Amino acid sequence: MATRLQFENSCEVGVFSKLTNAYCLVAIGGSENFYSAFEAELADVIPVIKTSIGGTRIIGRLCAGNKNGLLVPHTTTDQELQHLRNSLPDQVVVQRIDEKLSALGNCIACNDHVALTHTDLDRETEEIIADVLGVEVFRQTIAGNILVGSYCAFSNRGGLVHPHTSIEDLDELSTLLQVPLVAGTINRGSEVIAAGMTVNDWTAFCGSDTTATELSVIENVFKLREAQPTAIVDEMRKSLIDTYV
Amino acid sequence: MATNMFVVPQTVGTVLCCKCGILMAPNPANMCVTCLRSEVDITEGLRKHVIIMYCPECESYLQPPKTWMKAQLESKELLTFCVKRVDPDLKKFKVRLVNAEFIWTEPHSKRIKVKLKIQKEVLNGAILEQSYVVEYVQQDHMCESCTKFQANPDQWVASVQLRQRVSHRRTFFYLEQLILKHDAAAHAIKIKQMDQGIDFFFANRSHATKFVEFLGKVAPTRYRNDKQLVSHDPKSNNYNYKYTFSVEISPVCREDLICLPPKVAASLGNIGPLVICTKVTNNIALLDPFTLRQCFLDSEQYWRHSFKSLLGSRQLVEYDVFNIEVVSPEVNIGGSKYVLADAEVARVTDYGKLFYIRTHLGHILKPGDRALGFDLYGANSNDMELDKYKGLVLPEAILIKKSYEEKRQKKRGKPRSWKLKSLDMEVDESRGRGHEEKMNSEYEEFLRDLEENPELRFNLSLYRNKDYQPSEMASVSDVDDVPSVPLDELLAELELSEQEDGEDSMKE
Repeated sequence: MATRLQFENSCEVGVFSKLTNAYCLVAIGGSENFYSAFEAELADVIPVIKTSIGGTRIIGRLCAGNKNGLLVPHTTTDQELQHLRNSLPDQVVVQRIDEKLSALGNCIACNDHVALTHTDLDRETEEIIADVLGVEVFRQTIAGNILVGSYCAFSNRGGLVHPHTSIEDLDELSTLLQVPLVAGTINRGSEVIAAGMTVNDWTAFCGSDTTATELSVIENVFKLREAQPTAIVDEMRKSLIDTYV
Repeated sequence: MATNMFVVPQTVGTVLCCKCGILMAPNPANMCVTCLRSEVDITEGLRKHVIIMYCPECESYLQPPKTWMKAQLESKELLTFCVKRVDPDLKKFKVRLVNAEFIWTEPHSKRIKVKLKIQKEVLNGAILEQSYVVEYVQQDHMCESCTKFQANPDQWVASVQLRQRVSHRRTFFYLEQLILKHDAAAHAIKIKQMDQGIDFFFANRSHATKFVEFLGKVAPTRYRNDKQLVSHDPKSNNYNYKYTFSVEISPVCREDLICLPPKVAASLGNIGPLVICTKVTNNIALLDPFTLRQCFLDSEQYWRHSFKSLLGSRQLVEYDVFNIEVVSPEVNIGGSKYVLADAEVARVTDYGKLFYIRTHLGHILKPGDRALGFDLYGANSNDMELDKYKGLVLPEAILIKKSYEEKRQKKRGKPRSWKLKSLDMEVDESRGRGHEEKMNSEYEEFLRDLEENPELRFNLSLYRNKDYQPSEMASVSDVDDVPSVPLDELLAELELSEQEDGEDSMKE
């Protein structure tokens, strides 16, 4: 299910949070509401960690990660890095990158298998991305925008891209990513998809301006309706029972 | 970009409208047009009802703060005016006007409807276009000048009293044409014909001053002005005056015989002292008929001495010319030609006495012609100036111009091929029939003067007479030299009347 929420009266929830299949990062805010919303949805399954990166709250735009690892920019302080290492599950590798394009969240979009990156990213960085996140890296643009991390959001099951993406681009991207993609909007017509939402394989958080139409597009393309963590377990059980019976 | 580069074809995809979910091409707002309309009303805050002031008398609209603008319904000017009234709003809300048109309304409904099409940038750069109707309510409100006129149409503030102290009105006939030509009295409220002059009334002092200045440019005038206090408001220091300009035109007219005062004659190089006035504009041209010397007096010089004429055009006597002997070659003075000649003439009324005189009209007079001149032999002059010259021998006659009287006899009563316009003047009826007849004969004389003198009609507008039909007979018999106005000098009058238009269309 997709949830609608706000961070201190801002609908750009993707800026203040980072959601993956293995962990969730949330910005330290004045109010506890934002954190509680994530906690309520995710606490049973994955750790929800309050943090800042480089002393800022815009963590969603500064870091990139999936279930395998987390990349943080060189502005990250040692304490923050230590805090992240302590809080994250052991199998998640946290890596600080020396890259001049320090808003990694804007430059890198990834799921657990593939990553799209900014075209000007260093070759070293590209290698680190491939190693730490365990993904194939493609340098790409989305509808002419080089900030691929801002203008698209995708999980292992589907993806939402900038509304101006042409049909040819959509085909190419979805061939690269091996997931169905759709062009769409968030937050009542906003084009910066990743800023308005954050998504993993079974849940999504959207800005509270998001309309019902947008929400239904999101739920369809990310296949959120059937993809409850419990539903997955149920599925497994059923098959087990089937074999036993 | 290189032309041989491979470019991937780009097909514009579709997205769902974020509000209603219909498929549409992506736009900056990512909302379909109908949703965008419902979301934002770009006409919000713009005035849809505007009250405009309308003067029913002069059919003009008030352009705040004070200007009244004349405009027809559904005219370009009115549309400009209407748009201008809502323009501050459009600027304030940063709206761009694309189109404006009238929606027809009943003329007496006192409503004007204008459909405006506007564009405005909404929601991250999407430009929305929308048309809306502004209703202008006409409120009747008489403009200041109309109010004044309604209260008292004859309310004048300044009057110009134009006078010439002579026994004829020739000068005023000429001035009337000049005023018409230059439209100098366009602002006059009332024009009244007076004894020895004309009164002009104006609603504004500046109009009167302008008119007086015009008069100073076309005639040797002097003026004085006075004002009379009508009312005043000591609190706001407002004074209401009536201004009167008294303008006097010099009594010296064209074709007058003048005996110059000794001082003037001396200052002009001992000319004369008997001279003929040949031309009057804002200065006076004087010609000595015996030496063919010409000199000019400007109005300032004239009024310093302000002499009168010895004999005027009414004292002209007809002479028969028996013989002409040219004594000098042709001389060109100030654009007109003269030839000195000795002439043998006698009065038409009295052949008993032959005069041997000198004249400046040697170029036009032939033996057998008739000429008009001053009969100094028979005149009993009691001019002060003349008495100052002791031992001055007066010639017996001075010829002024050739006479066409004899040849005119045939043409009498026939209409002219041209006509003049006239000022709308109030005439004093109390003066009686004789006065009117005199005026008519003077006017006829003026018209004849115009025919004879191309120089005189140079400044005037003559119009073609539509009623005039030249008869074959007349054109054959009138080949002789009665002067007339050539057809190419005439102007066609501008006539606008709906009836004629109707006839024209029917012919087609």
